[in-house]
Amino acid sequence: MYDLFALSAANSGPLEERLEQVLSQLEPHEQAALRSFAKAVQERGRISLNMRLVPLNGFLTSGSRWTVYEFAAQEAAVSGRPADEIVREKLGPYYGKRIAFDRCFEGGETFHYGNLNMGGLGCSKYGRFCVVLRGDFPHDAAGAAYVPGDSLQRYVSGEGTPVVDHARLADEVAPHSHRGCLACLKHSTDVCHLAEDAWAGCLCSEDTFVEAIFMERPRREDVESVRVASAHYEQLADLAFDDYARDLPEAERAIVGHFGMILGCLREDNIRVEVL
Amino acid sequence: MLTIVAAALSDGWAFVSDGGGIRLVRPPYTLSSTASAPETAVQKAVAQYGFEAGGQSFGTWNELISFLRDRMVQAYRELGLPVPRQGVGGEVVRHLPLRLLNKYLDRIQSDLLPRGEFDAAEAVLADVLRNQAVRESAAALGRALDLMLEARESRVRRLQRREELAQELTTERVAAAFPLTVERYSAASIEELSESIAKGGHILAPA
Repeated sequence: MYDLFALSAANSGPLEERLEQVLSQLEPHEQAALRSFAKAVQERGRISLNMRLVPLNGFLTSGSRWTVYEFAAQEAAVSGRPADEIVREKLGPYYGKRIAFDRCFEGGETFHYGNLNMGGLGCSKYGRFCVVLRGDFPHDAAGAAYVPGDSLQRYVSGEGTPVVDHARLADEVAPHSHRGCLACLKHSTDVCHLAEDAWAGCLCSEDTFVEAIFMERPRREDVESVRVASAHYEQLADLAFDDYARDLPEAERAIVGHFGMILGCLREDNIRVEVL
Repeated sequence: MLTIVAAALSDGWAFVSDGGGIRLVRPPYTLSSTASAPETAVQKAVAQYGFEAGGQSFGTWNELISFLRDRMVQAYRELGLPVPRQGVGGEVVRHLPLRLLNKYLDRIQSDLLPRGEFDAAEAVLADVLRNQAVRESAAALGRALDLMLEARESRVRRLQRREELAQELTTERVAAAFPLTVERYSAASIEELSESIAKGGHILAPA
């Protein structure tokens, strides 16, 4: 069993060396752009979590976010079924890979996952609301690590008995202090050719992201803002309007109900809603 | 055959295999709200984003979407929340920004009032007027109040016009306007039918 965060801390030197090597092969203006990008990620980068209406409502109402293992434990307490059986049922064919990764690391079953984000809607195909955590999250920076993409896809292979490629992970993982460095290494060939206002989309979008893995459970008070696409926000507002004029089906009423509760919680907690 | 490979049923979201590929299906279930998705996205959705592995199969998209809608409502009930009744939108309206509230006011003016939907218009306006952003904007507040007055006045005008029409609709006038109808059905039966409609509020008699 490995300590993911110790691996990430041990990799800070090698990551710096690799970045210097990459920089040395670039033109001065490209070097400057890449260094600015690293600084921007380090200063403006936040951990973001994409959520759908129900998980977001649950998160804001309960105040914290649960892992699949915690949900299973709660369900097991009520139903009397073994928690592992519930996790297996929820994860289906992906159970093996998830378990292999999580059990490869100390405290792996308490890991939380997010994306490194400095603007934009994150990976909205998993949830249209992009919850952005405050810059001081996680409060203990030693409990956060970053990898250049989807950890399961990148480091776990094999179907029957999945194997974790911890050597590759140890080579790529960055500590919180070096997330800018990692983002630079990942985007060393494209950032130099992009305008600064395109950097956020380059760092985190539907198809590309730096994954954040962290120990601290995100809480409502850690939320800096919630971003949502203008089109989706208007769609929900239109649905709420339609509720006055026509008999909305129950499913649509449920959507409007969740949306109203979310807006109420965000207002109550003074959490900024960014409509993009 | 359409098969749900992973779903977040409480939100009505599902990754669906149609044999040729995987599509993400989610409310409002329009073509523009769906997207193709690779297998890796399904893995990530299940492993990190609370989706659950699926397996249910359906013959048509309608059946599948109907299932997702039903499960969304069921999940709402399972959360211990009462199924929302009409008026649930009020909580949304109270928190919307001014830009969208102005859009609401436009829709009241262009859709609800011309269609004579005064109850709906007044209900929206009552919630709009509770919104802090509207209270802080003299322009929006003034416009909302104007529309409220317009809704009330239009309602009164409509009722007055109905009363006028009812008074104008004497047996003699009907006979003059529709002589053949009166000849066939008699003025008395037409009068009786008019009274029944006025009392019942509808044209079709209850079965």
